[in-house]
Amino acid sequence: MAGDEWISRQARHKLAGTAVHGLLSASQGKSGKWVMAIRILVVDDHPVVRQGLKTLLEGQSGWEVVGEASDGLEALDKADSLQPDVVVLDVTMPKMHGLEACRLLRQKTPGPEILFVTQHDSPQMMREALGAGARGYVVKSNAARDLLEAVEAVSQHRMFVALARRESSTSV
Amino acid sequence: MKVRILLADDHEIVRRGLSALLQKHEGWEVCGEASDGRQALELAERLKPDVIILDIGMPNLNGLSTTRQLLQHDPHFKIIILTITDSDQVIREALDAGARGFVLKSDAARDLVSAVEALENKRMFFTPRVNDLVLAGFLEKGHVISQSEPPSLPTLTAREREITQLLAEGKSSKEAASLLNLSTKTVETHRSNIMRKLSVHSIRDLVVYAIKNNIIQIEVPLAVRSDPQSTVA
Repeated sequence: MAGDEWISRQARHKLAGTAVHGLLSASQGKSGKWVMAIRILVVDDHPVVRQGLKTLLEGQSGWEVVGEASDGLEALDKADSLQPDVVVLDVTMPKMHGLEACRLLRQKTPGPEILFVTQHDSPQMMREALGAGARGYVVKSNAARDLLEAVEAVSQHRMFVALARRESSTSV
Repeated sequence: MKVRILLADDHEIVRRGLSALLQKHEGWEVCGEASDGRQALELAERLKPDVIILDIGMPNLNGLSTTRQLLQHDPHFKIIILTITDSDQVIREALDAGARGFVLKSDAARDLVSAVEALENKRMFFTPRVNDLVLAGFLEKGHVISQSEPPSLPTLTAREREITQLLAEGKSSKEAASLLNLSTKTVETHRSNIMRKLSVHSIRDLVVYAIKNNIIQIEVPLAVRSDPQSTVA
C-alpha cells in the first residue's frame, strides 16, 4: 500500500516502553500511516483451511504468512526455523495436539504469541488454551470475522478471545 | 475452457481456501458462494453454474438434501459433495442423491481440481474409498450398491427431511415454517407425520436420528476430552 511504512517486531521490541513505541501502537490500523509487519506461521491439518487463512491474512498490508505446518510437531520445527511473531494454531491435529504444541512453544524465549483458531466453540476449551499459554482464541466458523482483529491484538501482546457469539469477545 | 463454479460451505474460511485453490486454475471462475443449502438453491437457479460444490454438513439444508432438490429442478446440474467422512452410509446417500463427485475435505487441496475436471469431461470423480465400495458391490452382489442394508431414510419425503433437519437444529415449528414459506400448522402436521414414521416420541430422539443419518453433523471435541495434559482453569 503506498505510503505505508513497516515496523519489524525486533524494532518494536527495541522501542518498547518509549514514547515512540506508544505513538506507533496508537497509529496502527486501516487508516494509520504506520503498518506493522507481522510474520505468521499457520498450523492446521487441512490444507484448504490453511489456504483460506493464508488468503485472509495476506490481504493485510505488511502481514506475511512465512510458513505452514500440518501438525504440532511440524509447527515446533517451523517456529524454530522461521521465528514468526504469531502462530495461528489449530487444536485438533495429528501427531501432536495443538494444546501440547502451545505449551512447548511458550517455553521458548522469546516465543511467538499463540492464537488458536479452532472448531471448538467451548468456554472450557478456551480456558484450556489460555492455560496452555495462548494469547488468543477464535472459533473457526467465525474466523473470517475475528481473525484479523485477533492477530493484530496478539501481535501486540494483547489478549483476544471470541466464541461464536460476538458479544462474548474480549480484547485486553 | 471457461468453467463457472458455485461453492457452498458454511465456513467462510473454507470457502476462501477452496476459492483460492480453484481460481488458480486458468479459466475457472467461482461465480457464487453460499453459506447454506437454501442459498445454494437460489444461487444455482440464478447463476446456472457449470459445477456446484456442496459441503455435506451445512445448516438449514444439508448438502445431500440440496443435491436432491437441485437435480429435481434440473437433472443436468453437476454436483460434487465435500465431506469430512467417507463412511459407507454417507457414500451410499451421496450416490443415491445423484452427486457425480465425492471429495474428502482433508484431500480437497489434492482432489478437488481433478474432480471438477472430471465432471467437466462428463465423467464422475470419487475418492478411492468410494471406488472400493462400488467395486465390492459389483463383486459381491452383482450390483453397484449393496442391497444388504435398507436405505437410511426409507420413508421420509424431501420436505420431511428438510423439516427434520430444521427441528433437529433446534428451530421451532414457527421458525421452520418461516424459513420454508409454509404455515406453522403445515409444519406441525409434517412434524407429527415424521415422528410417527420414525417411531420417535421426542425432539431428543429426532436429534439422535438426524445425527445417525447424517441429516445434521456435530463437531465433538473428543481429542480435547482425551487429552491427559489438559489443565482446566
